[in-house]
Amino acid sequence: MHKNEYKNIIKRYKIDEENYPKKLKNINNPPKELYVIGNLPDENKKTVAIVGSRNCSDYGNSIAKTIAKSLSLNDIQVVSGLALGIDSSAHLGSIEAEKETFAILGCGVNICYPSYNYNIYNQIIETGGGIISELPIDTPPLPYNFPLRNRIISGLSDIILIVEAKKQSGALITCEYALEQGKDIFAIPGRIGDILSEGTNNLIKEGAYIMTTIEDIYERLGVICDKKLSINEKDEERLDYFEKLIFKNLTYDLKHIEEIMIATKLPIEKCFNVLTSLQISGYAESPRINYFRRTI
Amino acid sequence: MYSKVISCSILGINGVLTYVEADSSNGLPNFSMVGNLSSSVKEAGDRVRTALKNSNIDIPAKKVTINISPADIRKDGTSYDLPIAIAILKSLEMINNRIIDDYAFLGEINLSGEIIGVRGVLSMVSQLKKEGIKGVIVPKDNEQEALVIEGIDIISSNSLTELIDIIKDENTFYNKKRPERKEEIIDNDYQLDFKDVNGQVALKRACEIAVSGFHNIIISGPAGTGKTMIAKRIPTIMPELTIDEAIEITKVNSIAGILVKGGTLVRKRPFRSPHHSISVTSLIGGGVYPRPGEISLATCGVLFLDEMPLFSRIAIETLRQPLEDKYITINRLKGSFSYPANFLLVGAMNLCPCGHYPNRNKCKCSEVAIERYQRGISKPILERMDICAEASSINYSDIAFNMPNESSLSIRKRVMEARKIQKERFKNYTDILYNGQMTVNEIRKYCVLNKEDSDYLKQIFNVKKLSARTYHKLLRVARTIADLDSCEQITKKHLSEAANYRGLEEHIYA
Repeated sequence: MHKNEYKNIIKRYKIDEENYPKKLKNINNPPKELYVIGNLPDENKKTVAIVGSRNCSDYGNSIAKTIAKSLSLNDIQVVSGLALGIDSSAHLGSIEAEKETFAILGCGVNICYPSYNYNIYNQIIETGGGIISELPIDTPPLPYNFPLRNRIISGLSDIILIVEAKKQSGALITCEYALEQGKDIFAIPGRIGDILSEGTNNLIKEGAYIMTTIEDIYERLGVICDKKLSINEKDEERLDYFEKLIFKNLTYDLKHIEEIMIATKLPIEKCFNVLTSLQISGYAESPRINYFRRTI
Repeated sequence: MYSKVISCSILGINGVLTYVEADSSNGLPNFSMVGNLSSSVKEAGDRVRTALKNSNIDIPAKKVTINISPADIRKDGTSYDLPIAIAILKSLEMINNRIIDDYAFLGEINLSGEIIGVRGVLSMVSQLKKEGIKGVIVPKDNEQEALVIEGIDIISSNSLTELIDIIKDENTFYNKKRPERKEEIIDNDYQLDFKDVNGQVALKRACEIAVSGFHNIIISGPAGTGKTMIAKRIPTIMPELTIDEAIEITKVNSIAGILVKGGTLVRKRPFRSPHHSISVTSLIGGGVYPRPGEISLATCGVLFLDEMPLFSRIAIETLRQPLEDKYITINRLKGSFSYPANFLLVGAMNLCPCGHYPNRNKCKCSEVAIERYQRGISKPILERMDICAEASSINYSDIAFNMPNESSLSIRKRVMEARKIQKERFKNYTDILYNGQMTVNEIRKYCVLNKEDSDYLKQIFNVKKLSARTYHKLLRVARTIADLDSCEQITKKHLSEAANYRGLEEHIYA
């Protein structure tokens, strides 16, 4: 989808200009120039790239979104690639926090690719973030440009977080660039045999940092996180007997009401009742009909 | 001489009193038929003359004219053969008595003179009774169907020769033993039962609520999780048919020509599950001479649309009006026809083209493909589904362990209790029978919440980001859940359960 309305506000930064990001100057094969709608990332703030699979699970989506939101609230910038799946969720998390987020495209900045993310594209600009590309205006989304833009994603960031990746995922290309550039890589572990976590588990095997709570990232960045929106233990004391029983059975992954029912041995009506009150009090959520999970 | 015989036509689902007139006079031998006839009726002339000849009746060479009145209604079908034959015989003064004036005649005749069954006998007989006709002569094949209507004299025969012998003489006619209604074997065994379904308790509960309050329901979920299996069992928990419902179903079946030969009242609730390649016409009814479609055949029962996103968009959209009105009107050049369409809509759908979503380890469909697939059902149709339930992918342990499952019979008991309460509630309404049909006015009247519960609903509303439409849906469903619980007042526990059956459209069209 061509966006002509932004055409006259596209900024252009050459490599020898002062405003050109210093972080990018240090990398191998830096882009000769950058086209930007909106802003470039603030050099004084910490930056985290969140990347991952396009065909991700509900779990991956919600993790990416929550982490991005939490990072944004603590004034850490989020960078990603505007692709479907994890990338979109990461951008959405920052947008929800009304903070800036940056999307690096593999096509001209005035083209929204995939066009499905048209809303996100607009919201990134509106919330003070930026759409960035090294490719000239009007360059169509050509397959060979996408792996190359990954070096900019990692180049602009201090930390790269891989949420979900298959064995041969594009996100792993970003990791290779990150290694080359000497950036820290965090991966979220998954279960053995989970295809969507094969890539991340392999990264961990090869020495990437494991992210199990969001504090892992803050610690590495040397940031004290004050605004907690956390993957924290919820205060279970406030729950009544049934709420506690069902809450204990919920995980961060989606669970069908059937499983909850079998595990708690409660009648279905009771399960529904309790789950609704858990949702009202913010302990649980139901992103799909009949499926429930803990609020992260 | 001029003669006139009573018969009947079908218009939509009801009969229309029709007269077959014949006139024979001297002149050049000729046989002509008028009266807005379709070709199957025009052919009757040839059939009848040959049949009369083969029944050893000589027709003198005369000028014979047949008219079927009223002439402004299009006549279709084969039921005019018998009245035409009788009218000819009378106009030739071969038979002449009161019987021919008092009784109506229905039936097709083949060349050898046998009388064969026709469509729509139940509707026609019931109309003839309304018109005050004394009796009807029907084909043997339709005898039991005609006998459903009480208080009208039914005579049946399967051959023209036999029939003429009977009606020639008034004494034999009135002394002839009338056919008796066969002892009905009430065949309402669906041979299916909810106890065959292991697990999926949430779906079963959703079906129970759907049937109790006549809420349309859509079941989504991965392939092979028993969506179809459960849907097929929905008629087994519906209350037994009332006699009026049974007559309505039988009428539609008879007009559509799918009543079993020699069949009588249909005693089972219909379960229609048309293939997703169905055309608009076969779904809602139609054709040059309209016939009822699947939605009418499903009346008083279940219309099950499996793989709902795959149905043609236009076909599904046509369901909107019958879902509201409970009947369908089809307009054609020859007139407009109304058929009942009082069905419970049950939809089933996978969530992605491959059918494995949300299991991302198996499903490799792209997000765009998934969304496109799910959007195969339009939002307005989804909004008419009060209950949405998603099936869980089944574990081996659920299939293997023969946990005792509740039988259809015991679920039906609860459904009937809930229906009883609704019958009492809506006794002064003509167009509303169940909670699922309540409009905003009735919801305001019958879904009153106390302060505390109304605050609770507000909280649900905020947390779940409901729209005004889902708010009413939620209250309707909560009313049914309260009825199942035999509670006059809708309380917190009913609301909190109802909140979980809310709209799929909000997920798909977020």
